[in-house]
Amino acid sequence: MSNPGVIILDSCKKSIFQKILNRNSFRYFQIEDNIGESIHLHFDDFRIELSISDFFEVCDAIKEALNNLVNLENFDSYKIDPLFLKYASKHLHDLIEIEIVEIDHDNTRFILNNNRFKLPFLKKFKAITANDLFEINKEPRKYKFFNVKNNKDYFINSQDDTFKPIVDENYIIRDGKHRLFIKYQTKEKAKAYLWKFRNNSFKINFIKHYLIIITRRIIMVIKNKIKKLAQIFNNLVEKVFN
Amino acid sequence: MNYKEFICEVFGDFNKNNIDFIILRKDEIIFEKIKNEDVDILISLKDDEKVKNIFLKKKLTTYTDSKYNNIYLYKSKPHKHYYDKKICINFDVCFDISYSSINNKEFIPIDDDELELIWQNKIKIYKNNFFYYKMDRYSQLIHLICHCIFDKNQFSRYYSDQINNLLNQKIDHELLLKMLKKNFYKFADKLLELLLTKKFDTIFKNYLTFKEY
Repeated sequence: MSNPGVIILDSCKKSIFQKILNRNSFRYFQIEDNIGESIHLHFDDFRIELSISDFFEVCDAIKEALNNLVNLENFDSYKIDPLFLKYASKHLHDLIEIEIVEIDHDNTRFILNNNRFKLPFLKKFKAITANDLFEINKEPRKYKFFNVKNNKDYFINSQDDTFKPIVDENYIIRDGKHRLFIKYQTKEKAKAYLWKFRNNSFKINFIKHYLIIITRRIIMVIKNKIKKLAQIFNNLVEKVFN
Repeated sequence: MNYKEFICEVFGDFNKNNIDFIILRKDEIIFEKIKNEDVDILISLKDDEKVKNIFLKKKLTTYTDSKYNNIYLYKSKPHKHYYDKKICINFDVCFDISYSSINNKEFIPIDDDELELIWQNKIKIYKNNFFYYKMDRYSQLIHLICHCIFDKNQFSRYYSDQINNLLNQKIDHELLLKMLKKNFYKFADKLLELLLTKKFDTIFKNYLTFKEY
Protein backbone atom coordinates (compact mmCIF):
# COMPACT_ATOMS: atom_id res chain seq x y z
CA MET A 1 0.00 0.00 0.00
CA SER A 2 1.18 3.50 -0.76
CA ASN A 3 1.84 5.27 2.54
CA PRO A 4 -1.43 6.90 3.76
CA GLY A 5 0.59 8.67 6.46
CA VAL A 6 1.45 11.58 4.22
CA ILE A 7 1.40 15.20 5.26
CA ILE A 8 1.96 17.83 2.58
CA LEU A 9 4.31 20.26 4.29
CA ASP A 10 4.11 22.76 1.48
CA SER A 11 3.51 23.00 -2.22
CA CYS A 12 3.96 25.54 -4.96
CA LYS A 13 1.96 25.25 -8.16
CA LYS A 14 2.29 27.39 -11.25
CA SER A 15 -0.84 28.85 -12.76
CA ILE A 16 -1.73 28.00 -16.34
CA PHE A 17 -0.57 31.49 -17.45
CA GLN A 18 2.80 31.09 -15.76
CA LYS A 19 3.17 27.72 -17.46
CA ILE A 20 2.42 29.23 -20.87
CA LEU A 21 4.81 32.12 -20.30
CA ASN A 22 7.66 29.94 -19.11
CA ARG A 23 7.49 26.42 -20.48
CA ASN A 24 10.88 25.46 -19.05
CA SER A 25 9.77 26.13 -15.49
CA PHE A 26 8.60 23.34 -13.20
CA ARG A 27 4.81 22.88 -12.95
CA TYR A 28 4.70 22.05 -9.29
CA PHE A 29 6.99 21.62 -6.34
CA GLN A 30 5.79 19.76 -3.27
CA ILE A 31 7.35 18.74 0.02
CA GLU A 32 5.75 15.74 1.71
CA ASP A 33 6.39 14.08 5.03
CA ASN A 34 5.81 10.35 4.48
CA ILE A 35 5.67 9.32 8.13
CA GLY A 36 8.09 6.54 8.98
CA GLU A 37 9.42 6.45 5.45
CA SER A 38 11.11 9.64 4.18
CA ILE A 39 10.68 13.27 3.20
CA HIS A 40 9.79 13.59 -0.47
CA LEU A 41 10.66 16.60 -2.58
CA HIS A 42 8.66 16.53 -5.81
CA PHE A 43 9.63 18.55 -8.86
CA ASP A 44 7.01 17.55 -11.43
CA ASP A 45 7.73 13.85 -12.12
CA PHE A 46 11.08 13.93 -10.36
CA ARG A 47 11.23 12.88 -6.70
CA ILE A 48 14.03 13.22 -4.15
CA GLU A 49 13.79 11.07 -1.03
CA LEU A 50 15.51 12.34 2.10
CA SER A 51 15.82 11.33 5.72
CA ILE A 52 14.66 13.97 8.21
CA SER A 53 18.23 14.93 9.14
CA ASP A 54 19.22 15.18 5.45
CA PHE A 55 16.16 17.34 4.84
CA PHE A 56 17.19 19.76 7.62
CA GLU A 57 20.68 19.92 6.11
CA VAL A 58 19.17 20.85 2.75
CA CYS A 59 17.00 23.48 4.49
CA ASP A 60 20.08 25.02 6.14
CA ALA A 61 21.92 25.07 2.82
CA ILE A 62 18.97 26.88 1.19
CA LYS A 63 18.73 29.37 4.07
CA GLU A 64 22.47 30.04 3.81
CA ALA A 65 22.13 30.50 0.05
CA LEU A 66 19.23 32.90 0.61
CA ASN A 67 21.26 34.95 3.09
CA ASN A 68 24.07 35.24 0.53
CA LEU A 69 21.65 36.04 -2.28
CA VAL A 70 19.76 38.80 -0.40
CA ASN A 71 23.03 40.01 1.16
CA LEU A 72 21.54 42.80 3.30
CA GLU A 73 22.40 43.87 6.79
CA ASN A 74 19.87 42.50 9.35
CA PHE A 75 18.56 39.87 6.96
CA ASP A 76 18.95 36.43 8.52
CA SER A 77 16.71 33.71 7.14
CA TYR A 78 17.40 31.54 10.21
CA LYS A 79 15.59 34.10 12.39
CA ILE A 80 12.56 34.64 10.15
CA ASP A 81 9.38 32.60 10.57
CA PRO A 82 9.54 30.12 7.64
CA LEU A 83 5.87 30.74 6.78
CA PHE A 84 6.45 34.49 6.59
CA LEU A 85 9.62 33.94 4.58
CA LYS A 86 7.66 31.93 2.05
CA TYR A 87 4.94 34.60 1.91
CA ALA A 88 7.49 37.38 1.39
CA SER A 89 9.79 35.37 -0.89
CA LYS A 90 8.37 36.55 -4.20
CA HIS A 91 9.15 40.16 -3.20
CA LEU A 92 12.67 39.53 -1.87
CA HIS A 93 14.36 40.67 -5.07
CA ASP A 94 12.82 44.13 -4.40
CA LEU A 95 14.04 44.27 -0.79
CA ILE A 96 16.56 47.11 -0.61
CA GLU A 97 17.12 47.78 3.07
CA ILE A 98 16.28 46.52 6.55
CA GLU A 99 16.38 49.24 9.17
CA ILE A 100 15.96 48.83 12.91
CA VAL A 101 13.32 51.32 14.08
CA GLU A 102 11.50 52.14 17.29
CA ILE A 103 7.78 51.41 17.31
CA ASP A 104 5.09 52.13 19.88
CA HIS A 105 1.42 51.54 20.65
CA ASP A 106 0.28 54.43 18.45
CA ASN A 107 2.36 54.19 15.31
CA THR A 108 1.91 50.45 14.61
CA ARG A 109 -1.10 48.61 13.31
CA PHE A 110 -2.08 44.95 13.46
CA ILE A 111 -3.88 43.06 10.68
CA LEU A 112 -6.84 41.16 12.14
CA ASN A 113 -9.85 39.38 10.67
CA ASN A 114 -11.83 39.22 13.90
CA ASN A 115 -15.09 40.28 12.23
CA ARG A 116 -18.12 38.33 11.04
CA PHE A 117 -16.98 38.41 7.38
CA LYS A 118 -13.45 37.24 8.26
CA LEU A 119 -11.97 40.06 6.19
CA PRO A 120 -8.65 41.61 7.28
CA PHE A 121 -8.71 45.08 8.83
CA LEU A 122 -6.05 47.27 10.42
CA LYS A 123 -6.29 47.81 14.17
CA LYS A 124 -4.18 49.70 16.69
CA PHE A 125 -2.92 47.90 19.80
CA LYS A 126 -5.37 49.72 22.08
CA ALA A 127 -8.32 48.63 19.94
CA ILE A 128 -7.73 44.90 20.31
CA THR A 129 -7.80 42.39 23.12
CA ALA A 130 -5.90 39.14 23.61
CA ASN A 131 -9.14 37.32 22.85
CA ASP A 132 -9.44 39.15 19.49
CA LEU A 133 -5.94 38.15 18.51
CA PHE A 134 -5.57 34.64 19.89
CA GLU A 135 -9.11 33.29 19.73
CA ILE A 136 -11.25 35.12 17.16
CA ASN A 137 -8.60 36.08 14.60
CA LYS A 138 -7.93 33.18 12.23
CA GLU A 139 -4.51 33.08 10.65
CA PRO A 140 -4.64 32.01 7.00
CA ARG A 141 -1.13 30.58 7.40
CA LYS A 142 -1.17 27.60 9.72
CA TYR A 143 0.51 24.26 10.25
CA LYS A 144 -1.51 21.10 9.92
CA PHE A 145 -2.29 19.49 13.30
CA PHE A 146 -0.99 22.60 15.12
CA ASN A 147 -2.82 22.77 18.40
CA VAL A 148 -4.55 26.14 18.15
CA LYS A 149 -5.59 26.11 21.81
CA ASN A 150 -1.91 26.21 22.82
CA ASN A 151 -1.28 29.22 20.63
CA LYS A 152 -1.03 31.88 23.34
CA ASP A 153 1.14 29.77 25.64
CA TYR A 154 3.35 28.92 22.70
CA PHE A 155 3.96 32.62 21.95
CA ILE A 156 4.47 33.51 25.61
CA ASN A 157 7.03 30.72 25.95
CA SER A 158 8.87 31.67 22.78
CA GLN A 159 9.23 35.31 23.91
CA ASP A 160 12.77 36.66 24.24
CA ASP A 161 14.35 40.10 24.67
CA THR A 162 16.08 40.07 21.29
CA PHE A 163 12.82 39.49 19.41
CA LYS A 164 11.94 42.15 16.82
CA PRO A 165 8.80 42.03 14.67
CA ILE A 166 8.88 42.91 10.98
CA VAL A 167 7.01 46.03 9.87
CA ASP A 168 6.53 47.54 6.44
CA GLU A 169 6.88 51.19 5.42
CA ASN A 170 3.37 51.92 6.73
CA TYR A 171 4.30 50.43 10.12
CA ILE A 172 1.89 47.55 9.65
CA ILE A 173 3.09 44.46 11.54
CA ARG A 174 3.82 41.90 8.85
CA ASP A 175 5.38 39.23 11.06
CA GLY A 176 5.52 38.68 14.84
CA LYS A 177 2.23 40.33 15.79
CA HIS A 178 1.41 37.78 18.49
CA ARG A 179 4.74 38.15 20.25
CA LEU A 180 4.65 41.93 19.82
CA PHE A 181 1.18 42.04 21.38
CA ILE A 182 2.49 40.19 24.43
CA LYS A 183 5.48 42.56 24.58
CA TYR A 184 3.20 45.62 24.26
CA GLN A 185 1.21 44.46 27.27
CA THR A 186 4.19 45.34 29.49
CA LYS A 187 6.12 47.85 27.38
CA GLU A 188 5.10 51.00 25.55
CA LYS A 189 7.89 50.81 22.97
CA ALA A 190 9.78 48.13 21.10
CA LYS A 191 12.36 47.72 18.37
CA ALA A 192 11.35 46.35 14.95
CA TYR A 193 12.86 45.53 11.58
CA LEU A 194 11.53 47.89 8.94
CA TRP A 195 11.68 46.13 5.57
CA LYS A 196 11.96 48.61 2.71
CA PHE A 197 11.07 47.51 -0.80
CA ARG A 198 11.69 49.00 -4.21
CA ASN A 199 8.53 50.57 -5.72
CA ASN A 200 6.64 49.85 -2.49
CA SER A 201 6.06 46.34 -3.86
CA PHE A 202 5.36 44.79 -0.45
CA LYS A 203 2.58 47.26 0.36
CA ILE A 204 -0.79 45.67 1.10
CA ASN A 205 -3.46 46.59 -1.41
CA PHE A 206 -6.57 45.94 0.66
CA ILE A 207 -9.04 46.44 -2.20
CA LYS A 208 -7.19 43.87 -4.32
CA HIS A 209 -6.94 41.59 -1.29
CA TYR A 210 -10.68 41.77 -0.58
CA LEU A 211 -11.49 41.09 -4.22
CA ILE A 212 -9.27 37.99 -4.20
CA ILE A 213 -10.80 36.71 -0.95
CA ILE A 214 -14.37 37.28 -2.14
CA THR A 215 -13.69 35.73 -5.56
CA ARG A 216 -12.11 32.68 -3.92
CA ARG A 217 -15.11 32.28 -1.62
CA ILE A 218 -17.55 32.56 -4.52
CA ILE A 219 -15.58 29.98 -6.52
CA MET A 220 -15.56 27.68 -3.47
CA VAL A 221 -19.35 27.98 -3.03
CA ILE A 222 -19.95 27.35 -6.76
CA LYS A 223 -17.56 24.36 -6.71
CA ASN A 224 -19.37 22.83 -3.73
CA LYS A 225 -22.78 23.39 -5.34
CA ILE A 226 -21.59 21.76 -8.58
CA LYS A 227 -20.22 18.79 -6.61
CA LYS A 228 -23.52 18.40 -4.75
CA LEU A 229 -25.54 18.64 -7.97
CA ALA A 230 -23.27 16.12 -9.70
CA GLN A 231 -23.75 13.73 -6.78
CA ILE A 232 -27.55 14.18 -6.82
CA PHE A 233 -27.53 13.50 -10.56
CA ASN A 234 -25.31 10.48 -10.04
CA ASN A 235 -27.66 9.07 -7.37
CA LEU A 236 -30.66 9.71 -9.62
CA VAL A 237 -29.06 7.87 -12.54
CA GLU A 238 -28.22 4.99 -10.21
CA LYS A 239 -31.82 4.84 -8.98
CA VAL A 240 -33.41 5.06 -12.43
CA PHE A 241 -31.17 2.40 -13.97
CA ASN A 242 -31.64 0.02 -11.08
CA MET B 1 -39.10 -8.27 10.23
CA ASN B 2 -36.56 -7.01 12.75
CA TYR B 3 -32.93 -6.00 12.23
CA LYS B 4 -31.42 -9.33 13.26
CA GLU B 5 -33.82 -11.44 11.13
CA PHE B 6 -33.19 -9.15 8.19
CA ILE B 7 -29.40 -9.49 8.36
CA CYS B 8 -29.67 -13.29 8.69
CA GLU B 9 -31.98 -13.45 5.69
CA VAL B 10 -29.67 -11.25 3.54
CA PHE B 11 -26.58 -13.29 4.43
CA GLY B 12 -28.56 -16.52 3.82
CA ASP B 13 -29.38 -15.22 0.33
CA PHE B 14 -25.70 -14.42 -0.22
CA ASN B 15 -24.86 -18.05 0.61
CA LYS B 16 -27.55 -19.37 -1.74
CA ASN B 17 -26.13 -17.23 -4.56
CA ASN B 18 -22.54 -18.32 -3.86
CA ILE B 19 -21.47 -14.81 -2.91
CA ASP B 20 -18.42 -14.81 -0.67
CA PHE B 21 -18.34 -11.89 1.74
CA ILE B 22 -16.11 -10.88 4.60
CA ILE B 23 -17.52 -8.92 7.52
CA LEU B 24 -14.78 -6.38 8.12
CA ARG B 25 -15.50 -5.21 11.63
CA LYS B 26 -17.77 -5.71 14.62
CA ASP B 27 -19.11 -9.05 13.41
CA GLU B 28 -19.76 -10.16 16.99
CA ILE B 29 -22.04 -7.22 17.75
CA ILE B 30 -23.92 -6.55 14.51
CA PHE B 31 -26.11 -9.63 15.02
CA GLU B 32 -27.05 -8.44 18.48
CA LYS B 33 -27.62 -4.83 17.42
CA ILE B 34 -26.27 -3.25 20.54
CA LYS B 35 -25.97 0.08 18.75
CA ASN B 36 -26.82 1.36 15.32
CA GLU B 37 -23.77 0.02 13.58
CA ASP B 38 -23.14 -0.07 9.85
CA VAL B 39 -22.60 -3.55 8.46
CA ASP B 40 -19.23 -3.27 6.70
CA ILE B 41 -18.75 -6.07 4.21
CA LEU B 42 -16.11 -6.81 1.62
CA ILE B 43 -17.20 -8.51 -1.57
CA SER B 44 -15.54 -9.24 -4.87
CA LEU B 45 -16.30 -6.86 -7.72
CA LYS B 46 -17.59 -9.78 -9.82
CA ASP B 47 -20.43 -10.25 -7.29
CA ASP B 48 -21.52 -6.61 -7.40
CA GLU B 49 -24.52 -7.24 -9.67
CA LYS B 50 -25.74 -10.27 -7.70
CA VAL B 51 -25.45 -8.36 -4.40
CA LYS B 52 -27.32 -5.40 -5.88
CA ASN B 53 -30.16 -7.64 -7.05
CA ILE B 54 -30.53 -9.24 -3.62
CA PHE B 55 -30.68 -5.87 -1.87
CA LEU B 56 -33.05 -4.34 -4.40
CA LYS B 57 -35.41 -7.31 -4.14
CA LYS B 58 -35.57 -6.53 -0.43
CA LYS B 59 -36.53 -2.95 -1.28
CA LEU B 60 -33.40 -1.36 0.12
CA THR B 61 -32.40 2.08 -1.14
CA THR B 62 -28.95 2.45 -2.61
CA TYR B 63 -26.34 5.12 -3.15
CA THR B 64 -22.64 5.17 -3.90
CA ASP B 65 -20.14 7.28 -1.97
CA SER B 66 -19.48 10.52 -3.77
CA LYS B 67 -16.58 10.50 -6.18
CA TYR B 68 -17.07 14.26 -6.42
CA ASN B 69 -16.53 14.97 -2.74
CA ASN B 70 -13.99 12.23 -2.02
CA ILE B 71 -10.69 11.57 -3.71
CA TYR B 72 -10.00 7.96 -4.67
CA LEU B 73 -6.33 7.31 -5.40
CA TYR B 74 -4.62 4.31 -7.01
CA LYS B 75 -7.88 2.86 -8.37
CA SER B 76 -9.57 2.54 -4.98
CA LYS B 77 -13.30 2.14 -5.36
CA PRO B 78 -16.16 4.08 -3.74
CA HIS B 79 -18.28 2.08 -1.30
CA LYS B 80 -21.87 1.23 -2.11
CA HIS B 81 -24.54 1.63 0.52
CA TYR B 82 -27.83 -0.20 0.81
CA TYR B 83 -30.10 1.01 3.56
CA ASP B 84 -33.56 0.86 5.04
CA LYS B 85 -34.46 3.62 7.46
CA LYS B 86 -37.37 1.67 8.97
CA ILE B 87 -35.18 -1.20 10.11
CA CYS B 88 -32.29 1.23 10.80
CA ILE B 89 -29.88 -0.78 8.73
CA ASN B 90 -27.07 0.29 6.44
CA PHE B 91 -24.92 -2.18 4.54
CA ASP B 92 -21.60 -0.55 3.64
CA VAL B 93 -20.34 -2.65 0.76
CA CYS B 94 -16.73 -2.29 -0.38
CA PHE B 95 -14.79 -3.98 -3.13
CA ASP B 96 -11.33 -3.30 -1.78
CA ILE B 97 -9.86 -2.19 1.51
CA SER B 98 -8.87 1.47 1.49
CA TYR B 99 -7.78 3.83 4.22
CA SER B 100 -8.02 7.59 4.25
CA SER B 101 -4.73 9.41 4.12
CA ILE B 102 -3.65 11.67 6.97
CA ASN B 103 -3.30 14.55 4.55
CA ASN B 104 -6.65 15.24 2.92
CA LYS B 105 -8.51 12.02 3.59
CA GLU B 106 -7.85 10.69 0.09
CA PHE B 107 -8.69 6.99 -0.14
CA ILE B 108 -5.66 4.73 -0.64
CA PRO B 109 -6.21 1.00 -1.27
CA ILE B 110 -4.10 -1.85 0.04
CA ASP B 111 -2.05 -3.69 -2.60
CA ASP B 112 -3.74 -6.35 -4.72
CA ASP B 113 -1.54 -9.12 -3.31
CA GLU B 114 -2.46 -8.10 0.27
CA LEU B 115 -6.16 -8.17 -0.66
CA GLU B 116 -5.65 -11.55 -2.31
CA LEU B 117 -4.05 -12.84 0.88
CA ILE B 118 -7.04 -11.65 2.92
CA TRP B 119 -9.40 -13.60 0.63
CA GLN B 120 -7.17 -16.69 0.73
CA ASN B 121 -6.83 -16.77 4.54
CA LYS B 122 -10.44 -15.90 5.39
CA ILE B 123 -12.09 -17.87 8.17
CA LYS B 124 -15.54 -19.39 7.75
CA ILE B 125 -17.94 -18.76 10.62
CA TYR B 126 -21.18 -20.71 10.86
CA LYS B 127 -24.15 -18.93 12.36
CA ASN B 128 -27.62 -20.49 12.69
CA ASN B 129 -28.78 -20.91 9.09
CA PHE B 130 -25.97 -19.19 7.22
CA PHE B 131 -22.23 -18.63 7.20
CA TYR B 132 -19.98 -15.63 6.73
CA TYR B 133 -16.27 -15.01 6.56
CA LYS B 134 -13.98 -12.93 8.69
CA MET B 135 -10.30 -12.13 8.28
CA ASP B 136 -7.60 -14.23 9.85
CA ARG B 137 -6.07 -12.90 13.09
CA TYR B 138 -3.08 -11.17 11.50
CA SER B 139 -5.11 -9.47 8.79
CA GLN B 140 -7.71 -8.44 11.38
CA LEU B 141 -5.02 -6.91 13.57
CA ILE B 142 -3.44 -4.99 10.70
CA HIS B 143 -6.85 -3.88 9.47
CA LEU B 144 -8.01 -2.62 12.87
CA ILE B 145 -4.74 -0.80 13.53
CA CYS B 146 -4.81 0.88 10.09
CA HIS B 147 -8.50 1.73 10.50
CA CYS B 148 -7.89 3.37 13.88
CA ILE B 149 -4.79 5.32 12.83
CA PHE B 150 -5.71 6.37 9.29
CA ASP B 151 -9.51 6.52 9.29
CA LYS B 152 -10.36 7.38 12.87
CA ASN B 153 -7.12 9.04 14.07
CA GLN B 154 -7.73 7.42 17.46
CA PHE B 155 -8.27 4.06 19.15
CA SER B 156 -11.76 3.77 20.62
CA ARG B 157 -12.37 1.60 23.65
CA TYR B 158 -14.00 -1.05 21.49
CA TYR B 159 -11.13 -1.30 19.00
CA SER B 160 -8.49 -1.18 21.77
CA ASP B 161 -10.21 -4.16 23.42
CA GLN B 162 -10.47 -6.02 20.13
CA ILE B 163 -6.78 -5.48 19.35
CA ASN B 164 -5.88 -6.55 22.88
CA ASN B 165 -7.90 -9.74 22.53
CA LEU B 166 -6.21 -10.56 19.26
CA LEU B 167 -2.74 -9.84 20.67
CA ASN B 168 -3.47 -12.13 23.62
CA GLN B 169 -4.03 -15.00 21.23
CA LYS B 170 -1.12 -16.94 19.80
CA ILE B 171 0.52 -14.28 17.64
CA ASP B 172 4.01 -14.45 16.18
CA HIS B 173 5.36 -10.97 16.97
CA GLU B 174 8.04 -11.15 14.29
CA LEU B 175 5.49 -11.90 11.60
CA LEU B 176 3.21 -9.16 12.89
CA LEU B 177 6.11 -6.69 12.87
CA LYS B 178 6.92 -7.64 9.29
CA MET B 179 3.30 -6.96 8.32
CA LEU B 180 3.21 -3.67 10.24
CA LYS B 181 6.37 -2.52 8.45
CA LYS B 182 4.56 -2.71 5.12
CA ASN B 183 2.19 0.03 6.24
CA PHE B 184 4.07 1.93 8.93
CA TYR B 185 7.68 1.54 7.80
CA LYS B 186 10.17 2.56 10.53
CA PHE B 187 7.36 3.42 12.94
CA ALA B 188 6.40 -0.28 13.08
CA ASP B 189 8.82 -1.15 15.94
CA LYS B 190 7.56 1.72 18.08
CA LEU B 191 3.96 0.88 17.15
CA LEU B 192 4.31 -2.74 18.21
CA GLU B 193 5.87 -1.64 21.49
CA LEU B 194 2.95 0.74 22.16
CA LEU B 195 0.41 -1.95 21.27
CA LEU B 196 2.01 -4.54 23.53
CA THR B 197 2.19 -2.08 26.42
CA LYS B 198 -1.45 -1.11 25.73
CA LYS B 199 -0.69 2.61 25.32
CA PHE B 200 -3.47 3.04 22.77
CA ASP B 201 -4.20 6.66 23.69
CA THR B 202 -0.72 7.79 22.72
CA ILE B 203 -0.36 5.90 19.44
CA PHE B 204 -1.72 8.53 17.04
CA LYS B 205 0.26 11.38 18.64
CA ASN B 206 3.38 9.21 18.58
CA TYR B 207 2.75 8.45 14.93
CA LEU B 208 2.41 12.12 13.93
CA THR B 209 5.48 13.17 15.87
CA PHE B 210 7.68 10.22 14.91
CA LYS B 211 11.05 11.44 13.61
CA GLU B 212 13.41 8.49 13.42
CA TYR B 213 13.61 8.06 9.67
